[in-house]
Amino acid sequence: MPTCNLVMIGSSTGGLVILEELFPRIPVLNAAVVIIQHITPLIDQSFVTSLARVSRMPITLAQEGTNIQAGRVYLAPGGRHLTLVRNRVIHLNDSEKVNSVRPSIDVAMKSLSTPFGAKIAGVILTGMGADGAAGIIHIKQLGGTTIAQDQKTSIIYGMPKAAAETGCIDYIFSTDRIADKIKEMFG
Amino acid sequence: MRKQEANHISGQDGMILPLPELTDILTRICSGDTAARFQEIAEHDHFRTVKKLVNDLGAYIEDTNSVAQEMAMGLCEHYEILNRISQGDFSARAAVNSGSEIVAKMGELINLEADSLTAAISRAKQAEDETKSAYQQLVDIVEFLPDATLVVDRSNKIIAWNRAIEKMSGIGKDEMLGKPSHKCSLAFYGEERPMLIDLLGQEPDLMRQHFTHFNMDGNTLFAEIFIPSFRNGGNRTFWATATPLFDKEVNPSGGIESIRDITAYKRSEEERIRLESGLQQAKIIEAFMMRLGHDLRTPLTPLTALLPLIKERVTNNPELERMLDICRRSTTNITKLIDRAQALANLSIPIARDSLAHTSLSLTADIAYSENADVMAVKHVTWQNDIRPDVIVPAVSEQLTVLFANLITNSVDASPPHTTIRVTAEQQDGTVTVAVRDEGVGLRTEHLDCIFDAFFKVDESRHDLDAVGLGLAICKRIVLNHHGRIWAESQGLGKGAAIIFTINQEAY
Amino acid sequence: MDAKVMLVDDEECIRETVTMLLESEGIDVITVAGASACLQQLKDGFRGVILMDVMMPEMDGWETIREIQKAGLQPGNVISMLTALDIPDERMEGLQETIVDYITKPFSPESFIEKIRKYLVVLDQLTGKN
Repeated sequence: MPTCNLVMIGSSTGGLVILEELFPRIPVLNAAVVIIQHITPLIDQSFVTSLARVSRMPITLAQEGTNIQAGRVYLAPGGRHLTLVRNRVIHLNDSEKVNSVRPSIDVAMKSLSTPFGAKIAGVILTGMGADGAAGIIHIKQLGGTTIAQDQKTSIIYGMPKAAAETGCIDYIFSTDRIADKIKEMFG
Repeated sequence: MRKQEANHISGQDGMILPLPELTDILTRICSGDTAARFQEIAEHDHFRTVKKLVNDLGAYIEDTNSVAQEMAMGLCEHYEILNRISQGDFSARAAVNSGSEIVAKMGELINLEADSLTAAISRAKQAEDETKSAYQQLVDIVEFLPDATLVVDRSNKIIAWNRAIEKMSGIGKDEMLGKPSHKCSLAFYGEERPMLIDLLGQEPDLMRQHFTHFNMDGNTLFAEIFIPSFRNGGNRTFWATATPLFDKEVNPSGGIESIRDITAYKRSEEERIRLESGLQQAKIIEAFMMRLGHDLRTPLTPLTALLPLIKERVTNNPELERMLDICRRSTTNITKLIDRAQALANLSIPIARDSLAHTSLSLTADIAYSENADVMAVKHVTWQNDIRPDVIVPAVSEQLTVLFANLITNSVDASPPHTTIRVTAEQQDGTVTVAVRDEGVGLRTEHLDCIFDAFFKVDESRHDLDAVGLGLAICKRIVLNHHGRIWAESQGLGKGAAIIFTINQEAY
Repeated sequence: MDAKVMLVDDEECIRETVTMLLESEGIDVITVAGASACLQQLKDGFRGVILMDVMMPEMDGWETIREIQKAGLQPGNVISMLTALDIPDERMEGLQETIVDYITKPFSPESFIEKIRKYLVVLDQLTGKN
């Protein structure tokens, strides 16, 4: 079974609002979408339900062992690290926090391997700190497309700035233009 | 009988000596015939003992005489050499091959003496040469000391006045050597007053009144002297040190003073202090602006939040609605002003070296454009980015984004519909020159410089609340932070304008 | 009154403004001036959106949130900052998962209300699940 295209989105403080602005603008994609949002397990399921109301693609809380599929959205559950085995199978684990967070965007992005015959994209949205910067470097090395949210539309321009400063970011876009770019790549 | 008595001396045994014969021999010996002797003294001769004694005396005198003769001969032989040596010709040597042993020996002795004399003289000469060269060396050291130096003897007369002090004072050593040291104060102060060297051994209180700063360590004095219009030139600051000199017996033998012109050092020190206090001030201003910003944002919140609510509830009262609009716009502008003033305050802190990152100019310009893209689309203003993607500069990328965004916003404001904003970059000698050009209203020549001043507005009659007037001041601050230059070019009103800045490609 | 929003802010004008703004939208709100009153409200059973100021005299916002976590009073709540500090400092480190938003003063009333409504929706899902 060939791996499908993949969009991995990392997001933190302010991300709940940004994601709810982003997803109504994204059609059903020829790619699986994995969201790593810094969130507590207390509200992760509620957020999935809330986001599902505005998303055109079905969205679920990521579960251990799931084979990800194009046209679907998976949210990493709060309090657990998410990695993808062979870019396809979801693995959740409770190892140490990375960048003082769990799930960590770096952990998820760095679990990706060279996508044979598939396109991947890494997106860093609003948030405090620098989680995701190392992940972006990794995705760039795999030949993926990298996007960071711009300062103007970020609630906190911390993670996107750190990602941009790696020099491995292809595009720095507003929320709307991120949606446009994703649509253009996988629509 | 008296005569007979005179001719005969009674012997022990009553025998009378043969006086005439004795007298004859003694007379001959005394007169130089030292070989005169009694001949064949018989065994039974009564005068045998006396005759033998006379003969012994004769032999003795003969011997002595011959030695004396030899010595005299030797003296004669060596006279010339001795004379030469005594005249100072130490190369003269006596002959040692005389037939006379004594004369030869004398020659050897003379030569030995002459040798040791020569050695002693050459030793003395060598010691003298060494002393002379050590002295010369010392004089040279003083002469070529980089610091202006003068040395005085115990009577305070100048005995050394080196090149550096000649250059500093403009007075040559021929003029100063032998003069009392306080005379040279004329050269420095334009009046006669004590030099530091004149104050050696004086009460510290007395010294303090003469110098800007004064200090002492043991016998050594240190002083800083500020001299206004030194040698009819500018203000100079000198640093001097003076120390007494002592001879071997630890008696005072004079003193030495060195003077250094520390004006440049003082200036750079003052500059450093000024910059430091400037930085301190910038930090205070930043902290103050942050605090002020924070404190203003709080009372602004009710205005921003409640004015729209009020407007919603006002119906059929155009006058009141208009008032509310003005209030809203004012509120928005106060918020913008706070944002920008805080940004400017933030930017007033110099950039730390390690916060510089390799930044793509082209990408940064595009990011800045995307912030203005909506407004430009509405105005039908086209974006043309002609910067090659491989132009990389060391910069704080965030600041560079703000710089481009402000320049683009400015150009968009000035641009009529259906025009283009074009950005270019040229690299030369490690410097990139970036230009943002519009086809807009242009600038008056007299405004080209002042548009970068804080709160400057091109059109003073237009009290436009929307224009805050800090945008280009922020741009200038950012460019200066990156050690670049920024200026404006325009052919005049209606002819478009370009804002141009430079940025170094080498990290500083 | 079944309040769904609690504002923690030492400034009275902010407390009044937020109250008027939210009540005009039909959203019930309670306001408290500091950490202890906030913790008391939570102990008394408040569940909803907590809007937290940062600079407060008694205890700052970051510390107050840590106190809420320590007291086990976080479940059922969504916490957002509401502050005049435009950039959060390193004291936020480690609270990224807990703080869902960072709203800066002054804010536009429309986007503010929109955000509050979004978080209320998330919370509705939570009660729906229970």
